[in-house]
Amino acid sequence: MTSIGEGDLDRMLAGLRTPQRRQASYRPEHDPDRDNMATILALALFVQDALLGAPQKEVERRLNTLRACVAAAKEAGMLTPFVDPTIDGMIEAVKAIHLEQRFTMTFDALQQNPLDLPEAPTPSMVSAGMQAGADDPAMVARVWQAFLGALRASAAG
Amino acid sequence: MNADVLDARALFGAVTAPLVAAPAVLRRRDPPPITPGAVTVTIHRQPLSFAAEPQAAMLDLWRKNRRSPPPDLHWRLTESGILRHCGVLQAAPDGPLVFRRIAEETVRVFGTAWAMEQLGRPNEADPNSEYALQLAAEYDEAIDGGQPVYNHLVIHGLSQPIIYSHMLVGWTSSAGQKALIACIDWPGL
Repeated sequence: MTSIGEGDLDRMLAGLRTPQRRQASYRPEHDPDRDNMATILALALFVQDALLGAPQKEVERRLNTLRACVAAAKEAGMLTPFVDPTIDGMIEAVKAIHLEQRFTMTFDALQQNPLDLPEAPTPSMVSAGMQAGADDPAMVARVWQAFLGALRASAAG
Repeated sequence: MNADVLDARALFGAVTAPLVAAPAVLRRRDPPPITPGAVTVTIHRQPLSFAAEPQAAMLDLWRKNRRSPPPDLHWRLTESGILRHCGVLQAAPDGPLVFRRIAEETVRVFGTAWAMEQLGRPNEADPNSEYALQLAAEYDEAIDGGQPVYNHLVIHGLSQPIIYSHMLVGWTSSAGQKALIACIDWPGL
């Protein structure tokens, strides 16, 4: 009776391995072997950055990683094209939310603090500024406003 | 809105009335009574090409970013020196335009107390209600029309008429948020 060695077992199981894995085109970090963990993490990071209003380039980078992971999972047979419409719909919805976040953040940055409202110098202040060497009343007003802003900031600590 | 009409008897006066004896086919609507102290504005539309600095710079910035505002809008306006000339209003979807920022020129005209009260409140809540409503139509056109609006304006009802111009540029997000920047130029400041 012939015994089965380790090499024999390896040769017997070789035919069961998915041919695509030996010819995988995806990068190691997109490897879907670990229960699709790469795809799940890429999805989570994409959604997180988009909802937080991260810069456009960063969100696009996350999206490119997600697409690469999904492609690798399909190549390895871990995902089927059946999920494509769901994933594409999710991506479009998240991108729309990201654009709204960026719109809101752009104008939140322009919000004016009431304490920063300009206050015009009195005529005596303007006169003093002109005597001190200011070129015109507008310059006196700007300097006055700058001092006022600095004083307020100092008082606010 | 009823159409304006002409009253023949009003045109020709009581002397001619017996001669004309025409029925009042047309009747002119009496102008609304002017509330003492009411602030109003006359608005004269101008071609965009008439704009000079800083409004020309504002127009140029909008043209390069007409689809959506640049994320670094605050930085760009600050670096170019335009920010202090800008009033900013923003509306949530289906909500009113609310003051986020008030231009220096506007503060000089209406006062710091007015500005402090208006920040965060809708344009229509402006105590100078008639002036605010007149401007609201211009704001809506700049936002909903998709094209900037450039006007020369004269404010009436203050201690002296104020002559200024504004360049209005607007954006609408896909979800219906609206935003408007009014770049003010007041030569008399």
